[in-house]
Amino acid sequence: MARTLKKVGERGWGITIFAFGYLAFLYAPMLVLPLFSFADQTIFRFPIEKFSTRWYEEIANRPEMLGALWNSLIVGVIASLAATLLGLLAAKAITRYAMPGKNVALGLISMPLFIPEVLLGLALLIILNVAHIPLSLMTIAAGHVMLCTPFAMAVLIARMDGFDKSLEEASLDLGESGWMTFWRVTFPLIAPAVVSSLLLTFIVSFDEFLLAFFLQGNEMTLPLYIWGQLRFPSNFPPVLALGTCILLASCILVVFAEWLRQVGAPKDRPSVGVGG
Amino acid sequence: MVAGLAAPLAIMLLYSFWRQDGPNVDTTLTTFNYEYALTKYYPIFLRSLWISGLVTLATVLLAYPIAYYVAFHVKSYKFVWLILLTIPFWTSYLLRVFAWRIILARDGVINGTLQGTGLIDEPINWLLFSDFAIVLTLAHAWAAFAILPIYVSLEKVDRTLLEAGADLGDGPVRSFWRITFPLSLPGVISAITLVFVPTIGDYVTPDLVGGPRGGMIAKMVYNSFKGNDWPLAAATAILSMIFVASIAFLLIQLLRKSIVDPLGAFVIAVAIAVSVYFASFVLTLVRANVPEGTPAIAIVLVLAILFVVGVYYTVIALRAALGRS
Amino acid sequence: MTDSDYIRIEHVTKRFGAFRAVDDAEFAIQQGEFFSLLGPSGCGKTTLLRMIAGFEFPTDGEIYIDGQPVTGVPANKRPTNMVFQSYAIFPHLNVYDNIAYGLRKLKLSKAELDKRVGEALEMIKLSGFEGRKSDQMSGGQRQRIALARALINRPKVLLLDEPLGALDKKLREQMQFELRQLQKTVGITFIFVTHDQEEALSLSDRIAVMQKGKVLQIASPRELYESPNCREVADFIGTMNFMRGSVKAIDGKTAVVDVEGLGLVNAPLPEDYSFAPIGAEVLIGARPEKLDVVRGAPHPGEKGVKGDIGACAYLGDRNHYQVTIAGRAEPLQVATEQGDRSTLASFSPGEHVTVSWGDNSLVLLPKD
Repeated sequence: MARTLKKVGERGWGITIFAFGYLAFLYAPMLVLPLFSFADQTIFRFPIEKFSTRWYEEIANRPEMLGALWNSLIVGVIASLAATLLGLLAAKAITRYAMPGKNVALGLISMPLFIPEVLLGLALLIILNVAHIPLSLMTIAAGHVMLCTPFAMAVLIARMDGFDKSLEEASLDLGESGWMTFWRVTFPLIAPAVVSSLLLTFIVSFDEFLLAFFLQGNEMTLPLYIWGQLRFPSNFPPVLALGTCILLASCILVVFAEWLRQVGAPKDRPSVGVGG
Repeated sequence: MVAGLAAPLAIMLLYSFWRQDGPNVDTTLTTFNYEYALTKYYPIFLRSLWISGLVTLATVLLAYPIAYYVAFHVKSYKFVWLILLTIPFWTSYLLRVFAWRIILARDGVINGTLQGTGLIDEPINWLLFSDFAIVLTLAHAWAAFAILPIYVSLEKVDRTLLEAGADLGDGPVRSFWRITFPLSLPGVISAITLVFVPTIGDYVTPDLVGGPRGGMIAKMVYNSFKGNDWPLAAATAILSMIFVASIAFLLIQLLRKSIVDPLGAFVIAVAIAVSVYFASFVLTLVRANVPEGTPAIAIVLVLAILFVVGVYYTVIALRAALGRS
Repeated sequence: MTDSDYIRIEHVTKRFGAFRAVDDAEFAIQQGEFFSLLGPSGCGKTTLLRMIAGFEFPTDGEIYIDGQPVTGVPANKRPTNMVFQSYAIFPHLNVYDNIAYGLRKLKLSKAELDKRVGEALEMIKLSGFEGRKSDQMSGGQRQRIALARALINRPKVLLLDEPLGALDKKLREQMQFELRQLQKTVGITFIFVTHDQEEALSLSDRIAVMQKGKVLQIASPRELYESPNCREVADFIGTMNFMRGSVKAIDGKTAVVDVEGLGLVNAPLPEDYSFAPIGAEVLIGARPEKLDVVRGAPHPGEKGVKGDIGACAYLGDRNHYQVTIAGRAEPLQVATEQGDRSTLASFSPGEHVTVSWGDNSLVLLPKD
């Protein structure tokens, strides 16, 4: 082993350089945005002549943008709460009960991960139309719940599978009902996963464009607003300023959510973020 | 929840067999929309397949070394690396795509820098509004979906196997190809699945950086929807869903197989990729010569047969090349 | 079945699909008894325990606890408490809250709660650890907390699912002793599941040996060891030489059996010897330590057979020999005590010896 390790160590320079190069590739676009948000110009081109915080001050003068931000927050909160609740029920049903058609249900619930969003959007739009439900922020939220539930479920199932089922049995054995067992044992143990599910589903909903595009009524969410402004570069710098703020906020949220996942995860298993 | 998902899809299915007649919808059942969509849109299906294939290839090829680096070279800051690699995924997709526009534009960051340093005189035109831009942007956007599964499978590789390999006389390169790589294939195939399926249905990137002819499946569905022909849009959507779902199904089967027989699964994956491109090549050759009025289903059938035959013979050829019976 | 039966298992069967995890179990346990379910993993012992606890429900049959049928009653309504194999100490609660967990429903005053938890902690010698979290406790301490948490509810029956399996050998032996003391002090009926035959023998009043879902024999440790009722039980508990033979005659309380390699022997008849009519094929069992190796003639009053020493093993307090005898393919296993000075003899491979046995050391068993 010493031999292998040493050799790998000796040859490690190439891959280390690649790794940092890759990080640069990942972060380049994320650095361009803040950079131009501080540039005192409306065209996105180097060299930047003068830096200012003008666009940040400008944010306050865009009621439409702030309205869209507010709408996105509302939709995000509703979608993350509902998706996490549904995810919790689904995770409990899947990890704790042997029910017929479990795999079919699991497959259907996970489907939004595997079918293009444009189809989900169209399908939902058709059924809303058939049912004569007017489009609004709530229809966007409903679409987001469908999209987010599989994410919530993945996070929660991982956690519920991760802890010893005899803990719940012990509680039942000590005389507690099913509901009290959930409240006194299960919930405290999966609380970190619930919080990280809330955060992740919120971010997914907050950032979602295409479903919202199909399901929007009169009110816009932030991605819809940004989409609209893309055609007008001169209007765009304040969007970049707001985007930079949101970027910062979501970085903090993600780090916090990941940290929670690590804290909440069973100690003996490796665990990683999305898709793992 | 399950009903909430199944009902819209069922209604869409019904819609796809109706027909738009001016402002009204004719509810007599017909397969017209399917025939129309197939004949008119199959180049877009193939184009989407081609672009998504390139995206997947680029993403996985770039992701593997990074996952390998974190799994085997990073000793004490794995967690930090994993977070660093995931963060971009969680930030606004639209803004990231827009950032690539700034970077790749004709007067953008790259062209500006290159011209400023005198390396080129004229701006490079193919950077933005091109397939290159789509592939680059998507490879950036879906990086985390490729890195994480590969990382997980690499992390699971029992380190004593590598010691055994070294003990039996393998150098680092040989033991990588003989031990680490085969054992990481389930991760690679799940990365392929997780990148391919969402990118083939992506709307934003092809529209924003792909230029006027950059549209893929989502654009096609959206266009028929915008043309106020909902039944056609529904049929197109269902065709796309069948298309994407069968690819996803294939990939998931491969994933299952790769856990038992990694190399065998790899051979089949390569064979499928080769055959898809073979079939689309044949299609472009014969397209000009197909007589007017040939039913779409005939074209689909011919393609399917070509595809199956292609897979069969490529598998045989690859197996022979690898010395497996 | 009598009225004094505290727990009754009546024709209990548990099927998972076509698989019978527990197959027609039928027995009774007395109040205050230390009763063990012993068997290899997958024999159904844990399933049976979980049915008594109320985590699984029988496919067929009835379970009674203290005269009450409990078959359909869920775990939280049964007068039983369990010590889990993993101990299932709640990781988010400290020692105090773990132990007090089951008392919430009684709505005790804080002082009363403190008193009962204090007593329980004293019982398990962990006073002063109230505020500790479970991950700060060692395996042995967690095991005791699990015991206290179950016993504080004063259950009618305490169920223990391999509670000592996770402990190292020294600690396990100490805990066995403590467990037995505790059971005598509290006087609660214990049902103890284990795959460790020594553990079962040293702890239990009675043991049910299970295999492939069936209860093979229920008896006291001594009876199980001395007179197993079938080859499986004899094989599972300790080691035994099995020899094929056929019954030649029944003479009062002994059977005359013609055994391969040994010739005619007199084996004591078991209680139920219906399997051994004259002429029947049977097995004769002999524990290695009930046989002896001598030079020359067998011990007085015993019978003997000539053989050759094969392999020898020195085990500290004992010597193990394999002795090859004519007319038998497998060598006989013989264990001799090391400490006995009068027979301080050791033998070398190839040596010509006599294996000596007394009639009472033989066990008559049905032929599979």
